[in-house]
Amino acid sequence: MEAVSQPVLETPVLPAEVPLPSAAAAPVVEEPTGPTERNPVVLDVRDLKTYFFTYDGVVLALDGVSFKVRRGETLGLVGETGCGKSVTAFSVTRLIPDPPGRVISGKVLFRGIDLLWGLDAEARIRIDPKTGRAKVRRSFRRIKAGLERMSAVRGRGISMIFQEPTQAMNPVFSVSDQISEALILHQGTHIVDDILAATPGAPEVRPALEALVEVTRAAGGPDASRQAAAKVGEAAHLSSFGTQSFYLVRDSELGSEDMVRRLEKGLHRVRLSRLEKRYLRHRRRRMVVEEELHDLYLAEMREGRVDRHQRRVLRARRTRLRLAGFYYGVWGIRGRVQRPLRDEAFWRTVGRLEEVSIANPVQVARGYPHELSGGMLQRVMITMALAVEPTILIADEPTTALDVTIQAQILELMRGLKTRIGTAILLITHDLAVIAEVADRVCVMYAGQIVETAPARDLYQHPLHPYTQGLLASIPNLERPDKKLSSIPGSVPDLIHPPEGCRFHPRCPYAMPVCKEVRPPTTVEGSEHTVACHLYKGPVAME
Amino acid sequence: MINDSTPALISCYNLRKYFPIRGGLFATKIGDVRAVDGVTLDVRESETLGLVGESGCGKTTVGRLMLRLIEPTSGHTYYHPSPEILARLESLYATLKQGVGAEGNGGTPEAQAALKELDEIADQYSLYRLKHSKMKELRGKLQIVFQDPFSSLSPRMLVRDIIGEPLTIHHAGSRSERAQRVAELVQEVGLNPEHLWRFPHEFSGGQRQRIGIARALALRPEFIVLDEPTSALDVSVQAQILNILKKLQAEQRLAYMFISHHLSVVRAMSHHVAVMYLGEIVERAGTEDLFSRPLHPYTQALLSAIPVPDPTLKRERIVLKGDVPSPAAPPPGCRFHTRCPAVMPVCSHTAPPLIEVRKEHWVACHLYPPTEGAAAAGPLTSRAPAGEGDLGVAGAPPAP
Amino acid sequence: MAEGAAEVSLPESETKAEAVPATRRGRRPNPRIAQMKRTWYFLRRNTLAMVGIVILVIFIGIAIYALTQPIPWTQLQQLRASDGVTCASLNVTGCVCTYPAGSVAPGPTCYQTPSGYPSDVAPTIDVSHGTLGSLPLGSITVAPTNPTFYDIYAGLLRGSDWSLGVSVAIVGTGALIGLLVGAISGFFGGWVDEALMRIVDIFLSIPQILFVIIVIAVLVTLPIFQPFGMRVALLIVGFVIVWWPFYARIVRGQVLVVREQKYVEAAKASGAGGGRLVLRHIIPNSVYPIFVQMSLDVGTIPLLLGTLVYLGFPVFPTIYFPEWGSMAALSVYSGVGASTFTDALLTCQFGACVIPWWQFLFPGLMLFLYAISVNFLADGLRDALDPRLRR
Repeated sequence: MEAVSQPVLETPVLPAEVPLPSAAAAPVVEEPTGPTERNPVVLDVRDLKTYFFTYDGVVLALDGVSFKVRRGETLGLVGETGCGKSVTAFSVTRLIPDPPGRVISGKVLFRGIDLLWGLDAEARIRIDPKTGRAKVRRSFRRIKAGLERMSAVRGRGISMIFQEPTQAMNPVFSVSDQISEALILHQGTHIVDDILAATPGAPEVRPALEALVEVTRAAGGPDASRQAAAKVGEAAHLSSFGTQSFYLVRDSELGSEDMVRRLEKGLHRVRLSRLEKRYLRHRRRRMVVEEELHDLYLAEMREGRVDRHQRRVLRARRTRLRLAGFYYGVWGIRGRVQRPLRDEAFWRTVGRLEEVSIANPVQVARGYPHELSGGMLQRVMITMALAVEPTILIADEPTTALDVTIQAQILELMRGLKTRIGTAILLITHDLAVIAEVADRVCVMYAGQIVETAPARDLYQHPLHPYTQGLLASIPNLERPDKKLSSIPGSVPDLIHPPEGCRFHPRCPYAMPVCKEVRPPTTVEGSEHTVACHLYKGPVAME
Repeated sequence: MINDSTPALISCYNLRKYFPIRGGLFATKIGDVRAVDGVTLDVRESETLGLVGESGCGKTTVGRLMLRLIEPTSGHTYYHPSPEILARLESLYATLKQGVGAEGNGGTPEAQAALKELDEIADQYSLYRLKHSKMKELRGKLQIVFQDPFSSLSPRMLVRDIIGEPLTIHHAGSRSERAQRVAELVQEVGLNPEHLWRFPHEFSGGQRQRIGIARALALRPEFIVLDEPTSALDVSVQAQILNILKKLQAEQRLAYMFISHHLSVVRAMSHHVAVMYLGEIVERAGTEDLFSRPLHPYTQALLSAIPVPDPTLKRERIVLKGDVPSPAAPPPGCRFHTRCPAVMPVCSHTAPPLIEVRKEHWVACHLYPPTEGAAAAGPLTSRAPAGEGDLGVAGAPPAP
Repeated sequence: MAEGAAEVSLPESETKAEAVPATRRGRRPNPRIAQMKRTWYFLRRNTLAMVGIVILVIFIGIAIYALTQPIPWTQLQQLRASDGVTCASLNVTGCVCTYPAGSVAPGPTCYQTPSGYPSDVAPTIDVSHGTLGSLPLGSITVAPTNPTFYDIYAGLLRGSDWSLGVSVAIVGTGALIGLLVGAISGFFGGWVDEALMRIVDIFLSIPQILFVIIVIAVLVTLPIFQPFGMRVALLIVGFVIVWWPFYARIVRGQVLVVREQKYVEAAKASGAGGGRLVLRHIIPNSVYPIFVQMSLDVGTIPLLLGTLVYLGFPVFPTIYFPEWGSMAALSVYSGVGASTFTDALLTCQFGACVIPWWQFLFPGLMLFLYAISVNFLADGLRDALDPRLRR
């Protein structure tokens, strides 16, 4: 039997679908992806410890986890169920449910800002030595303050997508409502500025519209139509209008005169009445206050102290604006004053959905989550997470619930986004094969500790830690089916009473007496390759 | 199919299962979800048949149909069929295929006679026509292990009751004998006897799956349907479970039907593989054959979609467009044509029959048109010709 | 790492969370007891639930004590006295003296409260005119023509008997019937399900109080229910008829979920028939939601009972009855010297009567405390048993 790396095809097969160029301008990334020395570290987790205080005892879920993610790189966090990888992701964004869990210590530096500042002041923990149970005294005021500080980072700097896409969206709101919410929340000022700066009445608009209609009727193909639509958007100084025109033209069958007139009526959405303008400016003021508040929180976390005065000032301003908003509430019946903002957000959503190669974005955007399949929903989730252009995307088992072919689509998508947008990705999964497809570097976790970190190639070709070796040996490899399936004896340890010393030693085939007593330090074994095992005696890794 | 020396343990012919969709004022039936639409398979003694496909393709339903956990809309399953019966069935189906459709509805008189005889054979041997008491006796021999180790064990029963339940139901031996057998079973799957006195929620996923396997083994079965037994488990635990399964197969000469969507796992476990899409079998072959030379475009796409744990391997990936269509409204003609990268005009209105293209390698695709020799397709038709009357338990299948 | 042989896992006692401690040599620790200990641990941490438990325990203690007393305990014992005898000369505390209607002789009839609660207000009784007077704490008159006195204190104690006993009987029976109906309906489905659920719908659409009144009014005419003992049974039967649909509906919902679980299918695959499936698999897993409802109902039913009696419904064979609701009702009658509710209402218009406040406050307080303690306990139990709140 010949070992093949590609299935032998008896007939020609069409190539994979080319992703559509987006009508909205994609942000240009100047930094190269992948880890280089010049690449700044975006997320630096140092010695993170998270414990869960349960009836059965204290679960030492994370016991000193450290890793770094650089800008634009994809770090894979691999481990089996119960090893703590999801806990790591939630600890970084402080989403651990407070009873029973708490982040005990550690530093999470996100672009230099310590996200865990103020942790010690929030709770006092005392462990009863007899039963092993803990009493936690929490200061709810401080915890609430801490969570509010995190709101400055969540969604804007760090976004997350989760495992079950069918359950991650609110079923009573349409897809575009939910994505618009994220867009308006995080990019609201830009959107409002664009709306206010649009020039629907400019003289260049009408000829551009006519050109678009011409091109479409001449059946020049989707690319030409898109370019013409982009020109319309430029003429009106509103790129989402280009998207709207493209879809209007594509989906309708009127003659050219009617078409142009209809398109111009579509422009009507951009023409604002005085009331709407006033509302938009009011809204912008509110968004600016929120942004200032978020900047204040970031500054607090960076400097390590609370600025009460400034907080009071900003919050008072926010309250005043909120009260002033009631006036617009009167006019806002049936969403009238909000209409321009919502429409703009809708068409921007459509643009984003195009970018993730969804074939009929207008329909999807108008529809509801239950109408979409798992693969589509995961794409929508990726859209929502990336719509605000975060610095880092945390993906918690994004493809586990999906079929193999859909998983291939999503992984393809993520690879494309990596090169296009340049977001750093922290990919958490238990599937080593998925990691091999997408990740630049890999961290292997076992029982709450990171046992090995390496660039992807090195890890798969020269795995150092016995656990990694065992994992790789137990994957049934399609390419080499004769390789017998070996398994690691034993099972994952109980984290309430973990083994002493190295947590893997009960299952390790190379266990030595020192492994039972001393926890192995993390040593550097090659460029960017670190291991925590007593078998290796390289230099200890600096934090 | 009968060319092989190993006797067939369980064979099913033209299984169909349609679930009615009810809507409208009085919940009248407005359509069918065609979960399984004409599946013919056989599993040989102490061998494993892998059944592969994505979610919604009906593979789970096939497993349940073969154990008579649900009743089919039409089709038959034969357990331990003798070679004479099998030969007779083959020739009857051949006659049917040629006879029906030749003269419209009724078909040739030979076809009618064939139908009658098929019915008689079914009455005698088909699993679905057995009386419930006889079926109950057979239950011990035909077992199933479920996918989700968390919901397949009753949370309010102790483990020893869970494993011992089949024994209790069939009154197998005295109480002490049953307890002894339970202790044996637990050892066989690699657990400790003290685990018998615990509740399922105190165990990890892999251990629960072992309990499920022990329960399936209680009455010394001959055939076990493994419905994605390791999909909810981690990789190393998966390896443990698969090794146990293989060991048990060797020791007790069990036949497995391994249902999964993980092709690499299927390859490691199976001797033969069948690929399903939207309720039909699109390709079927021995494992090596299928993986080294996949013929159907869907199989090729599946194989190329599997991520491989080797970052240096750069492969041409065939990414299929779109999503799986709903089984309530399957596309006409070849059901895969909406996503097929090699689609041709004929695919959208004619369904391709399942043809033996090479030795022991059947494909249902217009890319491989039937040649002279291969036209003699036996009972392994994936789509019964139009007008074939009912061969099954209840009403005639609607025209495809 | 060789395959094949190396699959036997390590002893799980090191690797499983609940390292169940060995109790005695050779005796396996019972996992169900461990579960109960865990539930108790969570209950203890819930302050309100503990308050509820304490109050409930006190009530149960009272009920047990009251049970040990003879039945006519609450009625004042009539001490025969001969002419010329006064309470002072009898040297008995808690003694109330009355004069028979329209006479001076032969002498006072002395009544003693069995609890010995002393009267500290001079009695102002005018039994001669057939009105009910106001008696001090520790006694209550009921009917003008039949001066049977009645001890509030003892009535309060006895009332806990009734409330607990009757409500437990009602809830227990109702839950059992509801469980069976719900399980059968949910499991078999089809027209059985439809028929039973329509019956349940009909029952549930009638307001409870009204329904109970109707049912009891109809049943009370049956000769079987005339004797006192059977009246109690009538009460229970009446309530059960109204109450079982709630449980049936809850159980059916849960059964529909449980029915689809894989372990039911696994049991079917092993050959289990319908009966075994329902009894051993479906019912034990569907029973959890009704526990909470049951504990809530134990608190609600005495309230309902009291309401019924207060409305004048002749639930009990005699109008004086040591049950909290009826005691509260009687306070209105005694205040105005009426013997029926309508009379009391008519007389009491526009605040023209003074109801002795202690006669309805204490029974009402007991009802309130009872109901609220049961509710606290039910809430605490639900939180402790909820598997999602594994803390």
